[in-house]
Amino acid sequence: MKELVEYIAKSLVEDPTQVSVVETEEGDHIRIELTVAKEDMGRIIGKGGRVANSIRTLLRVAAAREGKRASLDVIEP
Amino acid sequence: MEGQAAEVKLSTPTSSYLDDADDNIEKARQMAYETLTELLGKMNIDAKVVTRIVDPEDDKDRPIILADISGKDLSILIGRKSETLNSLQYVTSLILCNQIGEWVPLMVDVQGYRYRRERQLRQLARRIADQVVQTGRKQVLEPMPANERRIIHLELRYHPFVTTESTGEEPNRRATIFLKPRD
Repeated sequence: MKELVEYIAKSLVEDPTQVSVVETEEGDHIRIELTVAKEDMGRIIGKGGRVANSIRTLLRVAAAREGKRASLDVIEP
Repeated sequence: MEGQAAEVKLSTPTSSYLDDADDNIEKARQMAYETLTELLGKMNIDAKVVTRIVDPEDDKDRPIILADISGKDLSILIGRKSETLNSLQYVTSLILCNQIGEWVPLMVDVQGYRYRRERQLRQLARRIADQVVQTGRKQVLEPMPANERRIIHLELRYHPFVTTESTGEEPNRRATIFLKPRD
């Protein structure tokens, strides 16, 4: 799950060196916390959250493949 | 002497604008293939991606990159109201745009799903347009995402008697078909 979010985030931001992803698992729930440079927040969230929601949709499908649920939080550095 | 050499170089066909455009779209096609293969791999989905460049029906439009994904049990890649497919297309387009520096029209499809859906929508548009012509009353279609409403608008854009427009707010925006005002 982590690799998916990391790949998308690094491909979308101006500064890939500031991308960090933390994955924690509680039971069947995977929580992903994504941190990007402040200047890149807009690129990851998008207008009305459209980009972040698209990433969530893909993440949900990937997690469902393993019978799990996943959530994504974008965290400001 | 140096001047002459430079002239010869400039006249080679590789420097024409057309070839540059071809090069760019070919580069974008290759990148679309790599990006989608990467995304699907990281989503743990075993599928094959085929990409090609499709010339527009209308000369005014640009060529688009069509990426068709095939494999077993891929309905999860379409999702409810093609939500997953649209997300995959959106994320891939954004990545392409970021890498290439300009927006490239891209359509991501799963085993011809969008193609079949497009044909259905074109038929629907023509059938409803006939009804509108017969009854004189406007018809409001079901809510659809922007790319599907676009198909309705395009199908009827040269229709002699009806015209179309979208009304309402996302995600409940609907295409409306009505008689052209007579002048």
